[in-house]
Amino acid sequence: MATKKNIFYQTISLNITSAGLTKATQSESLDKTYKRVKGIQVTVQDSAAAERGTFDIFRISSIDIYPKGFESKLITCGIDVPPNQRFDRNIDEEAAGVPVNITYVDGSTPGTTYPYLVNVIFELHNPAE
Amino acid sequence: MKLKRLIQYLIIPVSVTPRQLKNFEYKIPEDFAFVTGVLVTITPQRPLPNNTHMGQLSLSFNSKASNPINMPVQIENVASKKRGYNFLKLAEPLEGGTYIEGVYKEQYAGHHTNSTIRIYLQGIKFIEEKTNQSQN
Repeated sequence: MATKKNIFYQTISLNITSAGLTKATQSESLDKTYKRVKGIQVTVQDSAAAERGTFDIFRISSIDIYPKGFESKLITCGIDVPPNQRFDRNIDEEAAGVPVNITYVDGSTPGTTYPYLVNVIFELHNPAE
Repeated sequence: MKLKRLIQYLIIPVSVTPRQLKNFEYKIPEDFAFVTGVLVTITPQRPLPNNTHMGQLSLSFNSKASNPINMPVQIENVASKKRGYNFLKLAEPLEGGTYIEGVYKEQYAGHHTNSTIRIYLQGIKFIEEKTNQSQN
């Protein structure tokens, strides 16, 4: 039987409407049809805002993935980086419908245009059969 | 009992003023036992151009028994990042309750305001893995 490996990229977006705003996800969860999360990447629509945003909470299920104060720019990069190298792959957690709790804090960077979107992209896998 | 490997991070924030020589120390939590990587960012209050050399940082572990980090600190803007998420590799066992000590020397000669340096330490810990009874 041929081996099948399913990969899915799930995006959770936060709309940041004003300087210094703290925005949390509302009842978001990872896709229940995929078993593992193996990568995380963040894109920020406004390049100035990308320099100073931080996470207050970044939790998958009950596991803290990044601590309070972790800068989103560490998992963001420019377009010169190939798409498959933009993810933090130091992660291998259960997906399968678990809740995701993310709180993003805008860093009030001079030159930011509001509103802007923060997209958190999860690389979800089903293990090969 | 099955143990699971988990990446953990410790963030040490350091506030600096222009041309300051700053000494700092930070007590390591008991459960942070092994450092596998380090990454340093600097955020001036007023944005500065990419690749601006801001200063020099040194770090010592285990109450100065080990001094593996002596590195320049530069501005790196997101849009110009040509690599993904990379920590400098370290393999530094930490003794519980010891201090990380550091010295940062601000060397930027131009006019600017205060900055915040964030020193990220990456480590590993092992936790008991929960087994999901509902999964077949």
